[in-house]
Amino acid sequence: MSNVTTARSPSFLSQLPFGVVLAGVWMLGCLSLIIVLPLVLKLDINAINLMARLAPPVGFGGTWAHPFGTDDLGRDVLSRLVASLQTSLAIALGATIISAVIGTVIGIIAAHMGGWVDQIIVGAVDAQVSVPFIIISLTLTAIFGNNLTLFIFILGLFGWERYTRLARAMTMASRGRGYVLAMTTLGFSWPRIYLRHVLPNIASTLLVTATITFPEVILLETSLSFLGLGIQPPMTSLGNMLGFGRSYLLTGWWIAVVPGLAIFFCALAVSVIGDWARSEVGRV
Amino acid sequence: MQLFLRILRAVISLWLIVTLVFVALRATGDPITAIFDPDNTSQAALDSYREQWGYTGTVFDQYLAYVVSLLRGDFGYSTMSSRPALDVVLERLPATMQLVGLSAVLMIAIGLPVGTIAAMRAGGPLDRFVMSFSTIGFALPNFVLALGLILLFSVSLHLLPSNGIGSWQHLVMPVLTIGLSKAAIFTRFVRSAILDTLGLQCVVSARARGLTEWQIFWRHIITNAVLPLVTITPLLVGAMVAAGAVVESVFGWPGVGRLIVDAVSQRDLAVLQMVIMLIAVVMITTNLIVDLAYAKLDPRTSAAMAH
Amino acid sequence: MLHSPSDDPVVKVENLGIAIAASTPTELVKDVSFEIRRGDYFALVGESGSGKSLTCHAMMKLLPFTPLIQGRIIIDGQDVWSLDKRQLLAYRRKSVGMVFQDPLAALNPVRTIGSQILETLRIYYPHADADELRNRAIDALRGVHIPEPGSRLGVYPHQLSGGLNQRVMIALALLGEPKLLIADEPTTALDMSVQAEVLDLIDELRRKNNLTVLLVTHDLGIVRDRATHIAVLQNGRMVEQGRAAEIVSAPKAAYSKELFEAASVEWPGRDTPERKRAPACLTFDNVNKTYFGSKRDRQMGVGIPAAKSLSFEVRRGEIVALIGESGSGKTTAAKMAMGLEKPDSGSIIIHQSKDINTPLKVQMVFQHPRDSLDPLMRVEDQLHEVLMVHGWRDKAKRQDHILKTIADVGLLRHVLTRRPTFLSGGEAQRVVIARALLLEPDMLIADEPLSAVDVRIQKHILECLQRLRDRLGIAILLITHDLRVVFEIADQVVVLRHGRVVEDVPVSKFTDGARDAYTQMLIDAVPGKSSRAASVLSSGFSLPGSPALIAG
Repeated sequence: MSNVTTARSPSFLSQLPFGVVLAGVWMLGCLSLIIVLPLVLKLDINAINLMARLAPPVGFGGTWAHPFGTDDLGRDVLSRLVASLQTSLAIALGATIISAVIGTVIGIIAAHMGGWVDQIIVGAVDAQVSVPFIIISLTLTAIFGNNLTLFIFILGLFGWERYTRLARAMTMASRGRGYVLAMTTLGFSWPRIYLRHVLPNIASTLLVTATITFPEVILLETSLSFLGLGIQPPMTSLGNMLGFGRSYLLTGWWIAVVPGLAIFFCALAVSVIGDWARSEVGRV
Repeated sequence: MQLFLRILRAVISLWLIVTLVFVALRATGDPITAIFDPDNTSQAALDSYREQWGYTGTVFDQYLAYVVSLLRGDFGYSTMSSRPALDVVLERLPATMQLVGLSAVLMIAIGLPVGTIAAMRAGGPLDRFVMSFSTIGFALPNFVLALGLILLFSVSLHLLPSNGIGSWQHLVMPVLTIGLSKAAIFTRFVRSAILDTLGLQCVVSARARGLTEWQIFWRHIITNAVLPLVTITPLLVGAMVAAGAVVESVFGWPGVGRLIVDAVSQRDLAVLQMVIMLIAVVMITTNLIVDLAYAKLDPRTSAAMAH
Repeated sequence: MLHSPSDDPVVKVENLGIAIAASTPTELVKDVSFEIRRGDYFALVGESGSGKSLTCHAMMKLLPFTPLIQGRIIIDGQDVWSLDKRQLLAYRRKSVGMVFQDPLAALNPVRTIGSQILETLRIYYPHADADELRNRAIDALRGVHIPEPGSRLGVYPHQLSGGLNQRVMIALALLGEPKLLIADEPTTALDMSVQAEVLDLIDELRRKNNLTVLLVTHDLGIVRDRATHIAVLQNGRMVEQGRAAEIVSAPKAAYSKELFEAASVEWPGRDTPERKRAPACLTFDNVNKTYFGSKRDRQMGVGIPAAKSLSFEVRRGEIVALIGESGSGKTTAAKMAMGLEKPDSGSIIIHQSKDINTPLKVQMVFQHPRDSLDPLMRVEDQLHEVLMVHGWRDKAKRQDHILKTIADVGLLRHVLTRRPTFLSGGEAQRVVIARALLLEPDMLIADEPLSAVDVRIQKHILECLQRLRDRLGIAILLITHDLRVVFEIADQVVVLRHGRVVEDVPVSKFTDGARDAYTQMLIDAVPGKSSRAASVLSSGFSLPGSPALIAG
């Protein structure tokens, strides 16, 4: 219960840890890149230019025509990187939102219903925890085949159990809290209590969980695409760029290194922000 | 009572997994027509396959037959190699266990001491250094780390083989990849577990009684900090098996992880189902044992069980 | 008595200042000086946040952060903050022992009592063998009057009651036979009757071992009874200090006056020897309720009884105090009255109002005021929501009603725009009461409404409740463990023990030689009774029931 200043003064920015600022700048940079660049330049990710195969990036003997070089088919790595960032980030964001919503709803239901419903939901959470998600998603891909909608939905299941656990535990805890008790005695309906009072009070923790889950979704998506089991050509994602680039480590290292670094820095930036958010929420 | 509930929950978890696998397998429609081209296969052959795989009767009959066959230890045949799925998976197990075992040792060997020291010096330069490394390790995808190691040790230095199995040199890079990435996470857990106990009132009161820091550490900090670690460690080891899917593929390591990837690309559902069941059974049992052990380590929970 | 003032004091604190080290240091304690001489019983008094706990932690060099320390702390001839590591160990082992607020937290939960005593004993007797250590451990437990000391060694802290755990802590603190015992709120976490026992034990050990005691507390009752010297802290500064008798009888500083006044207890002084003949508003008729840990317990019938043929009533316009220690079933009774729990048998009747045939309206006020408000919503919005839920569509009407209600509880308009975090404890509790009043109840059930607020604020809340009864004619079922509250405002007292009513009398007759032994013990446990006896003697008041102060 420290004194939380309501007004975020200008010194707020300067109080941020340096790493968090860097992470924020990186994420903003990525976002503006994937939004602005397609407006300025005409990006054709599948334009094959066999004359310019395996051109190195600028600084390694390449030209500004292809700042990050070209791949084995002469496709521009920068264009493909921007397109991949779009796909990967959009998918990760969508999946995170889906799993947060599903997981939270299930958790609140478990806490409210109690009894055998709760037991089954807790059992399902246990089951989910005991089988690593990548194996489940691989199996689902094998059964249903590859398609984008399904892929997003599968990723949207990732981490649901964390939100369920948290939402369940915090809802149960808040049922013992005075304000929930007080509201029941004042004649409030349960949906009103959950939606207007409990949810806003547990939202910050759930949001922090989302920032921690988000980089993991990026890593999961890229892992699956890397294995050739996620995003399929002609679409492209960071993982599938890297998967293709893997065969050219000797002749064109940049094909793999550029998306590899992009994945790494995106995941890093979001987890740095997530860590910071967690410590801030813990402090309040 | 609590014990009974805990076991019941483990059983519910297993049953949920079995049922979900069944639902998923059936959700694609008639699996026989998915595997065989009905135009080019005789009705008699289709029927005999139906019979053999238990795809007769209503969905509920099929479900019962499915559960019964699982209970009898019949997990179906691998379509890749026409052998029992169980055998196909079991023969890959030793390689994976070798990999996971060594990685787990590496993870604990790094995580315990480093996490502890970081917690004792929380906020200091060493702690910040460790935490940065941990964040980096968390964000670094396995395949990027693996490719980086290959670039370094195989491509540039020609020290280690990049692919295959056989000698200890083959093990180095896969173990480093899995072990280091999980050590990054484990270190964090160790650090926060220790940090949480440092502020406990019982540590303060032990200090007030004039116990030495060494005694306080071993008798009051570790005894409490070990509790959350007992729960998290098996989960991390389980995650190592999953990490094998990528890492084994990169390094051509013939373990369960690579088997999964191969099975997915060949749509060998029997093998996949087998892998899931195996991992689920092992993990759920381990978690059960851990929870029971936890009750031994923490007398408060056994008190809760008695009530 | 035993006070033989020797020349060098055991504790000498000189101009102590404690601040959190940061670019802009936050000062928590400033310019505090005091001396404690051998055999003194020194009480450091203050409300939460006054810096009393920090001061005694600084005396052990046990602050939870890296502080900036000013001034000196000299204890037993040693300058505490300039000791090196080894000297500090020796100092903590031989010179002082410390007892903490929550004994359950201060003992390691995953190790037995015995192992924690033995590890400490081994410091003092490094060469003793296992049998000798064990015997010494048993002796130590016997020394603090723990029954069956031998069988307690193998027991974990959570298996003992709070009182026994605190005895274990005291035994641990005294193993090294220190000169000084620092007790930091040693009874705050304990039940009232146990509080007295623990304090008696400290008294006894002090006399027996010629101990010097530093007691940190917010409870002035304790101080009045036992301390030889009192120091009052406020906001990290020393307000007043001196001999206990002098400070108690004539506090000089305005703040200490206010503190002592707020904590003083009046004997029931209203001229209502008989209970009012008002219509009943809530009746408990032969109510039974048992909690079971599990289904098996339910079948076997071994459960914790929370209500056993519980019968009492609350009449219109009166304040009924329901008292008892934790576990006596008083909160369960409140929950059943609100319909939050269902009784196993018996009936709880909320009566109909006379003129219109609708049941009387009952609302509840909870123990932790801040916790019973949604922390994220402005007070105003929360109050509006209550009315909205009950069909008040017109915003202007709602606003009028809210303004009228908060005036009733003595709140100013500006609290409306605040969030609960920015309310003081007293304001928050009044907002909670106002929220309950919005629906114009005929009766309030208040569950320990004072236990989470400071002494001075308790007074305001009590006055507020009293006003509600006198002006609005609202009946109040007041659940409390604090007898002093009862004397202050209740009309009728119901004492619960193990779910049974052991006493149900008008408050004016309550102390009139209480018939029940348990009630008598509760009355005896009220801090202030010993000096009350003294003051009663000296002032000539011998009739309980006449208006006199318990002390001072």
